Amino acid sequence: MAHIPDGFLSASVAAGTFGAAGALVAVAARKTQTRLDDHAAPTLGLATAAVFAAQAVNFPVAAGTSGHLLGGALVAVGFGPWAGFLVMTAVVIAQALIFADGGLTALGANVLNIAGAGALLGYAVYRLLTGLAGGGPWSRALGAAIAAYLATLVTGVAAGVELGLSGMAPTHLSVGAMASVHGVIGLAEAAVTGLAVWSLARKRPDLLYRAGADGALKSRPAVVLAGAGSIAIFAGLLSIVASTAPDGLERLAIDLGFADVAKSWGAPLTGYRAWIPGAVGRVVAVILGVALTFAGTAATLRALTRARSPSES
Amino acid sequence: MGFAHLDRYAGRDSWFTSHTSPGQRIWIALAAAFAASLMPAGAWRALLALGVVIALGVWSARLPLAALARRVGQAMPFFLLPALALPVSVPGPTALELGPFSLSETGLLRAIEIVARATLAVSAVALVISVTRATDLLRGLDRMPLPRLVKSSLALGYRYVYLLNDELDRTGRAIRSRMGDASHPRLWRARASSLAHLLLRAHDRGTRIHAAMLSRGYRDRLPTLQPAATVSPVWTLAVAGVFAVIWLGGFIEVVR
Repeated sequence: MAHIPDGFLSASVAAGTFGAAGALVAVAARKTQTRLDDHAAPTLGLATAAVFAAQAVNFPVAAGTSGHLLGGALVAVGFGPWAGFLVMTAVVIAQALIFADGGLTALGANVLNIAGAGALLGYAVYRLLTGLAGGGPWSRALGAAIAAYLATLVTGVAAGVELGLSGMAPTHLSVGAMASVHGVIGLAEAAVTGLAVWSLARKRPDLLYRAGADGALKSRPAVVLAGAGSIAIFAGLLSIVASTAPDGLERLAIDLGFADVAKSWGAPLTGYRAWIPGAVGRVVAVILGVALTFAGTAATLRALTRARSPSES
Repeated sequence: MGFAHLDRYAGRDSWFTSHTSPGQRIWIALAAAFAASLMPAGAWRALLALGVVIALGVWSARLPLAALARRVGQAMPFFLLPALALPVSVPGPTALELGPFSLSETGLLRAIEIVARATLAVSAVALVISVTRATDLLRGLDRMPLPRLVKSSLALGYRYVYLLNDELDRTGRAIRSRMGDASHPRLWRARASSLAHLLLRAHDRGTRIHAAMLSRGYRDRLPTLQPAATVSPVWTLAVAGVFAVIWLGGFIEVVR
C-alpha cells in the first residue's frame, strides 16, 4: 500500500526524492559507521533479515483478514535511528529488486516515505516521549506505539503529497485518501510495535538502542524542541492541505468508504477552524493543538511511570 | 522455506543471459523503468515501441510468458487500485456516468496511460529478476553507487532471512499449539513478543557472526568463490541507447 509503483511520479518529483533520499542515505552511512564501527555489517544484515521475517508474521484482524508489521519504528528503537534507516532502505531496495514491489523510479520516494518517516521520524517521536516520561517499560512501549502510529501516518501523507505534486490527482484528494488508509494501518502498527517494545524493555533493556555515551535516556532540550517543532510544522502543513478543500476530501472519503475515519481524523481541524478565521489562524491553531496534545501525553506518561516506579525494583 | 522459488527460471541459458552480466541487467531494468515512467503524456506510439523492445527481451531470454505474467500479476494490484481512483478524482469533461460516480475523460485516459506505463516498467523488472539468481543480483548490486553498509545489509539479509523465518515458524507453531483458540488480544501479545525475541536473536547472532567473520579475515567486503564473469557492456549500452531514443521519440511525438 505504501509502496509507490513505477509510472506514478513525475520527472521532477522522482529526481527530487532521489536527491533527498541519497543525501539521507549518505548521512546515515557515515553516522552508523562512526557509531557502530565494524560491528555494523553483520548486525544490520541480521536486522534486515529480521524485518523481512517479521513482515511474514500475520496478525489476525477482524473478519478473517490479517495484516503485518512494517517495522520502521521498531527497528529504529532497537538499533538506533540511522542504523534503522539503513536497514529499512535495504528492505525497500530488496522489495523493489527481488520482489518487484514498489517501482525503481519511485525508489527515492519510497526510501523517504518508508525508511525516512518510519525510522527517523519514528525515532524522533519515541526519543521525545521517552525523554519526557522516562525509560521504564511502560513509557517506552507507549512512546514506541505513538511513534509507530505517527510514522505510519506520515508515510501515507508523504506518499499522498508526492502523488499530488506529480499531478496524479489534486493534492488534497491524494493526501486525504492516503491519510485515511494509513490512519487505520497505523493503529495495528502501533499495537504490535508497542507490545514488542514492552516485551523487549522487560527482557533485555540493555539491548535497546541508547543515545549518548552514558546510556541514560535524558531529555535534551534541543532534541525535544526539534521533535516537537517538526511535528507541529508537519501538522500545520497538513491543515492547509486539508482545509483548502474539505468538501473534496470528505467526498473522496465517502466514495472510498472511509467516511468515519476521515471524519474523526478531520474533526480537530474543523473544530479549530470555528474560532480562528483565516489560513494563518488555522495553522497556528493546529500547531497549538499539537503542542497541547504533546503536553498532555507527556504528563500522562510521566504520571504512569511515577505510579509504577515504586513497585519496580 | 528456501530460496528455490525465487530462482526457478534463473538457471536457463539464453541469448539475453549470455550477453549481459547481472549488474548490467540491473542497469537495463533501471533504464526501462525510467523510460516507461518518465514518458511524456500522450506518447502512445513511443510506449508501444517500448513494449515491443521489452517483449523482444522476454523472447530472447526464453522466459515463459506464464512466469512473467505471474510476477507482473503480483505487482498489479498495487498500481491498478490507485489508478482506478483517477477517473473519479481528476476533474474534466464527463465521459461516463456510473451510478453515483461520474468518470472524467481526462482521468480515464490518464488511468489507462499509467497502467500501461507501470505494466511496462514492472515487466522489464520482472524479466531481469526472473532470469537472474538472487545471489547474482546482489553481487551485481555490489557495483552500484550505494553505501557499503546497505549492500552488505542486503547480502547478509538474504543469507539469513530464511533462517530467521524458520525460527519464527517454529515459535509460531508453538504459540498455535499452546493457545490456538485464544482471543485476539492474547494472540497479538504472544506474536508481538515473538517478534521482540526475533530482534534479540538477530542482534545476538549478528554479534557472533561478526566475531566469526573477523576470525576468518573479514575486511569490509564479503568474499565470493565465484568471480563474476566479464561480459562486454556493448549490448547493455545498445539496449539503453534504444530506450533513450524511444524516450526522445516520445517527446517529439507529443510536440508534433
